[in-house]
Amino acid sequence: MDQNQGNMQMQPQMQQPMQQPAGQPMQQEQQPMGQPMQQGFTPSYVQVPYQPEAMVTTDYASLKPQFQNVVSGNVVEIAHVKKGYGKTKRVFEDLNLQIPAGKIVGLLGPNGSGKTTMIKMLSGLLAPEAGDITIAGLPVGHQSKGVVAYLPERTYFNEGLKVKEIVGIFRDFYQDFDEPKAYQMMNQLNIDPNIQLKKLSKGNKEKVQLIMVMSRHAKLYLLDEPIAGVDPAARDFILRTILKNYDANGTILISTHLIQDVEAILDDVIMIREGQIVVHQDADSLRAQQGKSIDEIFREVFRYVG
Amino acid sequence: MLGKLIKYEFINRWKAMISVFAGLIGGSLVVALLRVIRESAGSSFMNGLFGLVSALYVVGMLLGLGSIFILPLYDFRQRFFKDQGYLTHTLPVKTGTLLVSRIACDLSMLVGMIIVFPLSLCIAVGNFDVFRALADMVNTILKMIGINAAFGLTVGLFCGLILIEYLFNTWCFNCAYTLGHCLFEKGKKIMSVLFYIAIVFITGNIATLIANGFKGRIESYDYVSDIARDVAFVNLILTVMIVLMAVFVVGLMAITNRVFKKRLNLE
Repeated sequence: MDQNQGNMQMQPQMQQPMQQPAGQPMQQEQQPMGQPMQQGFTPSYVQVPYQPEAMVTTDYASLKPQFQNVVSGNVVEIAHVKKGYGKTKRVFEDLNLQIPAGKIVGLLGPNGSGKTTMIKMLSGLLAPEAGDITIAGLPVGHQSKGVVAYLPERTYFNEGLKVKEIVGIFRDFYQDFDEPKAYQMMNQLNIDPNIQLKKLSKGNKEKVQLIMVMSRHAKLYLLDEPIAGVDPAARDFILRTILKNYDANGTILISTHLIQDVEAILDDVIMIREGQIVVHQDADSLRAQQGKSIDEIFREVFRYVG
Repeated sequence: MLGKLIKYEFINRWKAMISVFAGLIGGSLVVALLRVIRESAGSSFMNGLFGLVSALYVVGMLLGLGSIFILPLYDFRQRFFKDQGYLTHTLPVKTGTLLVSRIACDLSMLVGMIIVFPLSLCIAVGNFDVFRALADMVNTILKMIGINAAFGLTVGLFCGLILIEYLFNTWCFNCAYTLGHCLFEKGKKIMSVLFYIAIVFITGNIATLIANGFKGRIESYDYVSDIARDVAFVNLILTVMIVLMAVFVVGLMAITNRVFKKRLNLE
C-alpha cells in the first residue's frame, strides 16, 4: 500500500502534503493515538481514530439491536384525527393509526400525501382539528415532547451558538439526553464542540443535529427525510448512526422518499396517499406476500397514470 | 423549568445585546480619542475627521436605541416562526412559560440600554456633566408639573411605568405578528399590521374608559400643578396605569399562547 495513501486514509484532516527529501525513502508520519488533531483543540476525551474501512459495509441488519421489541403495546395511538390547512386543503379526514413500540417504521408516500403533517402532529408542532393523539400514553403536549426526539429536514439550531452550547441546551431540557454519548459521537466525527454551528459545513450541521437527536433515549424518534439531499456515503453514515445509537426500546418513524436505502432496516411499513393509509404491514411479510421489494411495491401502489 | 428557559433566552440573545452595548461604548471611545487628538493637534483634517466620526457616532447611537425595540421582535420571529421554531416549539415546556421567560431578557436589554446609553455619551464628551445635566433636566420637568423628585415612590412608579410600557409595546407587535401569521395563509403581513392597529385601538379605548373614572377628581383641581402636589393621587394614577399595562401584557401573551397551541404555523 502506498504510504501516502495510507496516511491520507488515517488522517483525513491533514492539509499539507508530506515533504520528501531527495533520495530518501518516504517517511510515514503517523498521528499518535490520543493526541489532539488540530492545533488549539485539546479534547478532554479519548480520540478514536477515523476508520473508513469500517464504514463501507451496508449490512444494516447486523447493526440492529438484538434485544429489540422488549416493550409491548403501542407507542403511538392516533384516533379519528382530522387536519387541514385553511378551508380548501384537507389532509386527514379520519386518520386512525397505531404504531407499536420498539420498531423501526417507514412512513412512505409521495409529496403532499401527509407524511410531514403526521410527523408534525406527533411532535406537537401542529394541532389536529379533531381526534386524539397519544404518545406512550401521554396526550401530545409538553409532557409528550419530553419522550419524543424530533429531527426535522432543516437546520433548526441557532447557528450563532457553539456546538457545546447546543449540547448544554439538550442536557438542560431533556432528561433522557446522554451527554457523554453526544461528545463521543462528535469525537468520532471530528466535530469540535467549541466551534460555532455557522462555521460548519452543511453536512456537519446535519450531523450535529443527528447526534443531538440520537443521543437521547427517547420513546419515539421522528426523523423527517433524514437522508434527503445527501450523498450516498453520508446516507450510509446516517443510517448506521441511527441504528447504532437509538434506544432499542424506542420506536423510530422515518419519513423518506429514498426507500431503497432504508428498506433493509424497516420492521414495519406505512404507505400513505392523500391522507389515507393504504398499506400498514410488517416489512418482511409484505415482501414475502408480494414477492417484491418495498421499493417495487411502492412504485406499483403510487404509479402515476399518464 | 422557568430558570432554564431564562438561561436559554440569554444564551440565544446575549451576543446581540452585548454587540450593541459594546458598539456604543466602542464608538464613544473612538470619539473621545479623536477629540483628545483634535484638541492637541488642531488641524483642519482632524476637525473634519472628528466631525465625520461624531456624526457616525450619533447615527450609531440612534440605531442602538432602536435596536432595543427591533432586536426582541426579530428574535421572536426567528425563534418562534422560522427554522428555530422547530426546536422552540418541541421543547418539553409549556408554551406560556416559554413566553414568560422572554420578559426577563427583554427587560434586561432595556435596563442595559438605560445604563449604557448615557454612559457612552459621557465617555464621548469626556465628562459626566451629561449625567448631571440629564438629572437636572428631569428634575426641572418634574418641578414644572409640581412633582418633587424627592418623592422616591413616585419616581419609582414612573420608572416602573416606563418598563411596563416597553413590554406592552413589544407584546403588541409579538401578538399582532402571531395572529397575522398563524391565522392566515395569505396576506400575513397585511393582517399582522391590521391586528397591530386593532390591538392599539382596543387597548387605547380601554385605557380611556378607565381614565374617565378619574375625570371627576381631576376636574376638581384648578391647575395641573395642584394635581401634582397631591402625591397620593399621582401615585394612584401611576399605579393604575402600571396595573393596566401589566393586564394588557398578560392578555396579549395569553392570546399569543392560545394561538400557538391551536394554530401554530411555522414559516
